[in-house]
Amino acid sequence: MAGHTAGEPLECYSIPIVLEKEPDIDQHGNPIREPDGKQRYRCGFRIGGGIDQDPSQSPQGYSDKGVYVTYIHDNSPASRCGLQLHDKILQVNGKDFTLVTHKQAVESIRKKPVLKMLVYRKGVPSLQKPPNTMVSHTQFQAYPHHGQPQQYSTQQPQYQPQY
Amino acid sequence: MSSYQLNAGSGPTRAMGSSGEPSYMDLSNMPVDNKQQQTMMWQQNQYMSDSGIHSGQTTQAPSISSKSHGDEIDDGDMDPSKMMFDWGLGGDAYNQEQVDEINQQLNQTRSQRVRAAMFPETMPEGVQIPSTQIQPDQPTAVQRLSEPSQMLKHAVVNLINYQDDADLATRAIPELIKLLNDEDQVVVYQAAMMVHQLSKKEASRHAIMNSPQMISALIRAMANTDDIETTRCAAGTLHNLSHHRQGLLAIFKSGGIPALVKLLSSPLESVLFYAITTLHNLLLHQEGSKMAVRLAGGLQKMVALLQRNNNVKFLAITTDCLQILAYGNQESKLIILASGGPGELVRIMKSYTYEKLLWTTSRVLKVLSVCSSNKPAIVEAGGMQALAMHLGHQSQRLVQNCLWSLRNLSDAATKMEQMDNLLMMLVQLLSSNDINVVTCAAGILSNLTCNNQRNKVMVCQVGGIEALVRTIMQAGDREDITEPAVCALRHLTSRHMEAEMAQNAVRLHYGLPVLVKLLHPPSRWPLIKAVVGLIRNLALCPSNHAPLREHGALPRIVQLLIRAHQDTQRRASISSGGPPLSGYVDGVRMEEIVEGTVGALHILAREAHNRAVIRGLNCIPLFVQLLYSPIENIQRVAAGVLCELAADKEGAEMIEQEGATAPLTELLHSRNEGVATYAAAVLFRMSEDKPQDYKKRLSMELTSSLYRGDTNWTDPPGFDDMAMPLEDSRDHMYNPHGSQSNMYGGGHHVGRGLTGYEQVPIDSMQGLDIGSQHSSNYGPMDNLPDLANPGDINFDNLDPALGPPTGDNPNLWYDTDV
Repeated sequence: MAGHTAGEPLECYSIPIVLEKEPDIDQHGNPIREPDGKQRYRCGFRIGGGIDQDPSQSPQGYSDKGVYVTYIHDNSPASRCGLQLHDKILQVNGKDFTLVTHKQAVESIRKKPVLKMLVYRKGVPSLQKPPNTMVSHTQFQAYPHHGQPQQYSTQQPQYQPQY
Repeated sequence: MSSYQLNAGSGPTRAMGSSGEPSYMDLSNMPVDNKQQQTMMWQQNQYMSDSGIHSGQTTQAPSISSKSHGDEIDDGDMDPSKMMFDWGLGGDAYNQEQVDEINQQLNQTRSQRVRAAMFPETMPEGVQIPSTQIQPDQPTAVQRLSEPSQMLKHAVVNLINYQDDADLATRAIPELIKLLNDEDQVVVYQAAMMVHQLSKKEASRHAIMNSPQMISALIRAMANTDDIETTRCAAGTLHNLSHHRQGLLAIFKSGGIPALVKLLSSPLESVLFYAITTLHNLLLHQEGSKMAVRLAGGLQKMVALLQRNNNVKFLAITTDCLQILAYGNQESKLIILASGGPGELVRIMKSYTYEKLLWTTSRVLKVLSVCSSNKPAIVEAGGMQALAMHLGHQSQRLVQNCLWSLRNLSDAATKMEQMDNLLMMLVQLLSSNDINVVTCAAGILSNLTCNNQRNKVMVCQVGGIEALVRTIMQAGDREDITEPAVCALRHLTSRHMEAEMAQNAVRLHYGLPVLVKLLHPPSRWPLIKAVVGLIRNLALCPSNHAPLREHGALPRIVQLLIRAHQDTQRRASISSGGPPLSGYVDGVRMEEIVEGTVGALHILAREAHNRAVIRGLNCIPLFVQLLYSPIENIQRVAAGVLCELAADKEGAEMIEQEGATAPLTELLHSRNEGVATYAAAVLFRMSEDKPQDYKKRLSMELTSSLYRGDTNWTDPPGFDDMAMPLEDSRDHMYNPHGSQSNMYGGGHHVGRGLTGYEQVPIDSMQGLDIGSQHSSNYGPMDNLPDLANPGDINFDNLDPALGPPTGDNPNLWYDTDV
């Protein structure tokens, strides 16, 4: 799956990883905040790539325009969650990362405090599947609307007065 | 009849009146050995006419009576000398000594003679009583009086048995009333006791009932006394009276209810029993009692009594009172709730086995279970499990009441634990012969399986699927049964571990034919809606695709869709310009039918043959039309079914020919992720045959329009365990016109989106992140296609500058810390 052309249909096995961010603090232990006052969180890794970047310019020699993990900080949520160097991020919190700009990728990652990611890693076996099935590896399934349970209490049960 | 005063006295009556008429006395309660006394008294009274003796004799133990025995018996009334005169002094001459001796003898046997005269039946056999008769033709005084005495005796005996209330009313009652109002507590007590005794006999009871002052006096005495025995007698009297309508009316009118309610706090059990039984009779038969009991605070006391008492009959009466009071009266139900009623009632259901008590309690629970405030309290107190305990009882009325209560409570119990026993019983009850039982069981199962995975799994494991399918088959066109049963199956066939097994099981138990049949008349819309939803779930299992097709599900579903759609169109045209008419038919909106049917077709379209059938039914134009619907859910299912249909080449072509591209592109901007994703997928598939170049641009277009609104995107439905219906998680605060500032964290690039788009109609372009932030290689968006206009978009006119900047990018490749 290396060398995947962005925008082409893609089907492969991926590794699910959940990363829980930690609050970002400075060297004195004070929390770092965004300009609007919100607490900033850090994941502890670096990403590179995107469809607006040229992978041939990448020091790591990545083969396509996907988003890759280029560095993992020690003692960070990234190091603890199972993410590895050079993992290609396929999806974050449901958003497809095979067709994003670099900035879009950064924004997406920064948004939520918990990241549910699907990554591709070299060495993962390739997928063999018959044609004519749902091609995207993002499966959307509309859930049936169960609705509310039926209210029965508006029916007054029969009461026979006994004499 | 001589006017004798018969003061055998059964109470401290001082004056029985002196009018000379015989009075009625309750002699039956007197101990027999007092007959002697009576005889003696009568004996005395022989010689006194209009004596008006106030003997004050009592028949009770001396310690109670304020007067001692025999105080006023005058012994000196016998004057032997008189007798001697009657005899005359003819005949033998007796000397004085002999005369004295004879006299003494006669004196001693006098009582025997009198007794013989009056009560010959009491004389022992063969006893010789010396006779005082000297001359045969001159009867003795006793003899002369024997006949009238006998007559008197008979009359008295008759009176004792004779129901002559008028007499008593005029004589005894006024006196008793006075005594009841006396200051002396002992007097009051005696009077109360007397009245209690009187109330046991029918005639006197009527007399009491007919005297409102008597009732008032009783009630007042009962309420004001400190003596518990007085209270008991008075309460007992009222209890006796309460078996007659007049008595009830009299008690009610005299303000008896507040006094009786007060008695419910009494420590003495007999008082409690009298009070509650009297109140029960009043509540059953006396108009106005319910309101009076409520006003007097009866409800709180009765609930408190449930706690104190262990006697099952008492509890049964008390719960029945509660049921009568609470039925149809919301305020009463709330008072019972506030007094801790639900907890007590549930405890009773759990602890006792007396059928009548269980039955009355289940009726109270039934009445309370329709109250939305009581419902959660009952459920939390363990009401469901308690009621479930008795579903196997042999008493049908108990089982039925429990089922009704359970059904009413079931919608509030979807989150309860430990329902396994109940669920098992309900599945068993589905095979009952009683229609009501089956109806209730189906309804309860339907609610309990709604959104509760554990219950769903449990029901599947105990054979619920088979039981429900069988129930549906046997119910025929009885929608009261089929609708909840189908809803239950619908719940059981999705979103839990055993869902796939359930989907297969429906087929394996021959459920498919009967379900497809239910899509046809005489089924009404609620049932049809449920069946369509179930079929959709069943279609999740690939093995069901062919059978469903073979039973003709597809054409019928399409038929229903067309009908429902036409109905919505009609309403829309009627109310054109104004707010859309939301039409309910049988309580179901046609929009829901449209959504349901298209949703079912969406899943059915996973199979190739089904797709061919759907195409053959000429549905694609309709689906495309539905893309224009204002309702997001309909858009989603329409885009979904088109997505499936587009998997085939013919399908994709047909879709494109119907002009779907335009609305689909429009839907790319939808804030609903499902809609946008399906729309993108359809467009993607439709573009399979197009040139590579086109595909690349399209995917750029698609992804940028898909991602420009990423501020509020939550996880897509595929990843979360969605317990809530899809719609709820779609409540975005998304503002398509104002999201720019959120997207770019630092606030820069705010103005950019707007200024570059001037040549193009703003509406659809707002929020489109067509260009990237970093590279400025994307020139002004002059030639952007006009996405706001319907009609085919010509992608060939895209500015080449929009293409992926391979090789154009002078930027270094770099990474960012996150």
